[in-house]
Amino acid sequence: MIVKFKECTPIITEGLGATLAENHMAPIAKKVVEGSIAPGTVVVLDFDGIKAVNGSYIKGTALWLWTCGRLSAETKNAIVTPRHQSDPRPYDIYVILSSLQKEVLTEFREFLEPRNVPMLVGMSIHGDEIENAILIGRTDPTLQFTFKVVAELGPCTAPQLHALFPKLGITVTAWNNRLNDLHSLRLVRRTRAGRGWTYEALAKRILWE
Amino acid sequence: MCQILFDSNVMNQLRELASTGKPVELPFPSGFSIGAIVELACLRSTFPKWLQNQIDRWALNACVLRTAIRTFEDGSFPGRDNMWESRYLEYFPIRGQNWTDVVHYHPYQSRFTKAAKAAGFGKIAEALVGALREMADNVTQHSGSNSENAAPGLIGYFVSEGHVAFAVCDIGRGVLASLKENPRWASLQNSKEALMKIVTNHASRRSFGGDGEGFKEVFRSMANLNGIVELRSHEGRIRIAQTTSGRKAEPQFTGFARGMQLNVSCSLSGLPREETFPLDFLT
Repeated sequence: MIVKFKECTPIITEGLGATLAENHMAPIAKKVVEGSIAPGTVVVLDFDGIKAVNGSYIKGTALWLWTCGRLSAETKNAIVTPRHQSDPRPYDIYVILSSLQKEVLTEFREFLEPRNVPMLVGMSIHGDEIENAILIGRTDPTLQFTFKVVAELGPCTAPQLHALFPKLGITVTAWNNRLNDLHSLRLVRRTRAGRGWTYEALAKRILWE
Repeated sequence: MCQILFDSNVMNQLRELASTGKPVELPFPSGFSIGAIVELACLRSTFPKWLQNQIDRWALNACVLRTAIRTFEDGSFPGRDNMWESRYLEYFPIRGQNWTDVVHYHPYQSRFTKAAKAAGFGKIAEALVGALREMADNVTQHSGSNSENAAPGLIGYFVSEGHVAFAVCDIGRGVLASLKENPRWASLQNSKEALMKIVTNHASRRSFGGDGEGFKEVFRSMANLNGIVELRSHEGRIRIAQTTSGRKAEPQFTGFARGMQLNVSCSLSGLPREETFPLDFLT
């Protein structure tokens, strides 16, 4: 699913403020409330033609979607019932940014890093396929290493990683926890594989900076 | 009769007087700051009748105040007073989401940008305009229970050589009621505390996404300037004096007035000051 901001009304070249963010996200927010988006969908936020964004706009668009996805991956105890229309609600959804101009990318980095939120920026997207992407925001080194491994290997499970890297001394449970954290951070998706999960990065290839 | 210049300090005294309920004959203002004008125009309808009558009498002799009241009450645009060569003043009424209006608001902010650049602010002008826009958005976002129920508001700016001031005012539910929507801030007791949390902890109504972004943008825009930020809501008041060497906040209680009022005043040099313009120029 692709949301092209330059096609949102009013026609603008700047994504500034929470109100504009709410307006631009209204169609997708409605679908989230209705539950009419297939679980596991990747939403590509296309910033083509957008010359500037600010923190409030990022919060109301990309971070809102990311938080919906993250809440869906966390335990039910941690979920606060939405009190406000603009509050995120648990929904198994992923977000990828695309077509960010240099200044917009800088604004995203400055916004995401202090919040310890990682996000992928799609550099080459064909249809529903994210061919390659870069990682922005902040992940701790352990998770970043795990993400690199998953991105290199393709679909994998915790026991497979344990078997592939015996010298690292990481137990299956530890691998499992790391993969689970990456899923919670919306960097990998997972599918059931027997009693466990198979994890796969959202993009086919990650371009490391 | 003695004459006084209306700035935020005088407005604080006026709020005290308004909340006592006792009619007082006030001296005729000899001038206003942009903050005082925007606040008088916006809060006029919430003040007791005796004070409304006084404001109306002042407005008869002060075209800038008359225009501000009309702009706020009619919700009409333009609220423009091109004053004299080196100074510039303009209002915009906030109604729902009208500040996203490409026909009216965008030319307004573009005139503000040009005026601030011409006053010597260079690239900082865009940051200040961004801060005003963010504060206008705050009226839409936080003055009511949701953006559809936003309270009416008024914004205005004033630019002179080396000086930029802007003000944002609404007559909504106030910062305390807004912040209490977030469970993290539900235990706040009064508006003074709520204002302190906004300024020092970047408190936000939203329970997700970390810090509130609005006031961060205001302080970021003023980072290399001398300035005063005066923020009031209901019975709370906070005054932040910023110089290039640091920032000092003074929270206080003040007379009750509905909604939220913000005055920002910046200068390129010298101590923070809130410039008032004499009434002679404004009639």
